[in-house]
Amino acid sequence: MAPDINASGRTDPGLIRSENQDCIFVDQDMGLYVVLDGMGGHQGGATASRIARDVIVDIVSRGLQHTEAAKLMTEACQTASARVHQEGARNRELHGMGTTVVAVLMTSARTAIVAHVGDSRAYLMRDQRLRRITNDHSIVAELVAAGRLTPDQAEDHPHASVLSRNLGGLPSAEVDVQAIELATGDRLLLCSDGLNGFASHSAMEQIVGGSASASSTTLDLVELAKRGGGGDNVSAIIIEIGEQKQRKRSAMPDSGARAWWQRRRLFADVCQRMGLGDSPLAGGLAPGEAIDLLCNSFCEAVFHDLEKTTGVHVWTYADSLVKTWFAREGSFAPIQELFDILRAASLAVVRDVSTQDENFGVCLEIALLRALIVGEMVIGGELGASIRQANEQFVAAERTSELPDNTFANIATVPFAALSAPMPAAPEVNRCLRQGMQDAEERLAPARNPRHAEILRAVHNSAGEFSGDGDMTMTAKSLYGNRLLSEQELVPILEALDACRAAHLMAIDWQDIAPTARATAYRSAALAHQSLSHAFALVTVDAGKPTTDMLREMNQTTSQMRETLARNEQLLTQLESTHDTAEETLL
Amino acid sequence: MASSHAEIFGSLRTRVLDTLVDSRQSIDDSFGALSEEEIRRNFLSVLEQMQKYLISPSPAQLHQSVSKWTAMFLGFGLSTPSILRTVVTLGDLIVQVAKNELPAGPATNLFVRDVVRLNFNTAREVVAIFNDELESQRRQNARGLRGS
Repeated sequence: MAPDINASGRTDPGLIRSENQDCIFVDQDMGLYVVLDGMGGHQGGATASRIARDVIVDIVSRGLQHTEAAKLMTEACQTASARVHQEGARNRELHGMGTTVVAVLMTSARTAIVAHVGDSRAYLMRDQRLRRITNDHSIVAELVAAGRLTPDQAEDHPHASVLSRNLGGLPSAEVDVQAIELATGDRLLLCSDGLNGFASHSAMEQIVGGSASASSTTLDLVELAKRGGGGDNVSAIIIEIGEQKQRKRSAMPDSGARAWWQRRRLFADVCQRMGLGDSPLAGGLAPGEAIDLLCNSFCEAVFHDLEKTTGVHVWTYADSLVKTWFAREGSFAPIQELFDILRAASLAVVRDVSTQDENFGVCLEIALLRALIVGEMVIGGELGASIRQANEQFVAAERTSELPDNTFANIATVPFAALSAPMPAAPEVNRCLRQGMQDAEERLAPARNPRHAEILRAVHNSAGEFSGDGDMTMTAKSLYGNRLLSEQELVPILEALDACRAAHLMAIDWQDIAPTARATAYRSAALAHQSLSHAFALVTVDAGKPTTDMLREMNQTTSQMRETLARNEQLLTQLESTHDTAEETLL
Repeated sequence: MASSHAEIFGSLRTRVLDTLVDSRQSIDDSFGALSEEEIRRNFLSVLEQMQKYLISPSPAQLHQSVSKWTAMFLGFGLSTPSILRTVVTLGDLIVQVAKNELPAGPATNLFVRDVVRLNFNTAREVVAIFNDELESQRRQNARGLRGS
């Protein structure tokens, strides 16, 4: 019996970027599945990925009946590259755009033709192991292939995503194509680097190897990438071969989800006995409703996390509960009491499981403790935010105290000693910076360049009330993204940096406030713009480092070869001279 | 059991330290600025205190140790959420190394469980320290506001 194929795809802008430059295509009838990750310029990335997708779909649909599959996929990708390049050359705003692609064409239920260019990836899930089946076309990956970097060094390399190939960078693209033989129970995962760049391999393996449907799995993968920071657009397609039931049978007993769910009554009873119904976190609900809100929701969250081997559901449960409680100015003790009760009830479940299977009980306790650690991390995160807020209030109160300027109390103990950490700006300076940023955003709005907002926000955070928290390197890396190191890729960013600096400083200069505060705000913003430009320059230099290193080594080799050549030429001259002398002697 | 766990922990310590040194920047950017030697020295002391706790779990000793680690991480320039994430990551790292290096089976599971218990207790201590810090900051603010 031929196995069934189920497929599902999902794409999401992530948590940082306002625009989704990824795009996907899923068509089970046609057997074609594509993930593309666009890059470059204002709207360029999105345009590139969509043009490439349309071209690939068009060519594959027209050639499906009469062209050999591998050849068809190569032709589709190369034509897409030519079309993207042509469009970029024609339209200045789209100049330098490009896209990665990973595409699968199912030629039968057992054979997949995989084509890819760039760093979007294909993985094969088989026997509970997730194996990558494509090699990234990045400079770092090529250095690994050449033995110049170890895989571990490559994994941590700051510019692991600088591409050596893409669609659109050049009129023709070199496409890697391979045929994969599939078996019942296999799953193929196609994804953009917004997934594998923000999620560990083991977490991806657990989710793709889990029991959830293809659709839920793609949703979980997107959530996983967001939980890891969500710093890029994220796309995932799951193609599964065979029936769901077979996977479910193998995944359920190991996860502990079933054992946990079967004991939810025991869990609720312990919670009730320990007084969870009276917790102030339930906000005056009747005890039954309180149990439902606090205990049953936790029970369900743990069940879903055990089933899918993630911590997402417990995180969401704790995050919503803790944030709401602290927003109501609730104290720490009731939160800690609640989690103590949840822990005690969880351990009661573990003890009950252990009476039947001690080892399984140990494994379940490990999983439950990890869920509770997630809860502690949420509480700690909220307390950390409150500490920072309290600190800011303290600093603000200090600054508005009524001590006159230049009194003995304000003189530094050590004259001219600078503080090692920047101090937050005074409130009127912050007002000026805030208004300046808003005015600059309005001024730049007609350009509709999402980078403008990103730059202005980063500069504002660094210059003003969040002084010291602004990480310009991160912003610079985010602006750089995964583009190729070329003039046409960099010029739009440099132009955006210039435009933001000019508009921002002019807007601050026009604020109607005390001249001293305006001057301070102007200086802070100017310094922050300078820091961002500096950080961007360093990121750019870093991006070129692997190539520069290669070039330096090549120069050294060339210089050695020149020396050898010079020595050989000298030897030749000597030999010729000896030969001439010998000839003359003979004559 | 406790002594055998301590022996297992001792056998994994070098591998854990090597992995920590290699991946320090991914744990927190602040660690990237530190030298390999400094990371090894400081984390070796953390691992030694964890090993002691596995031999004889004492809440008072753990509280003392976690207070020291928190101060040390603050000194490295970590933010409060990063401190909590770092201690939890350290526990996860030990578990990961144990799973890679030790044979699968009940003994390894028991060891992992005890490390995860320690990890949970450590996270809880860090959270309690944050709460104390918040309370103290609020008291200071209240005094400051009354004073002004």
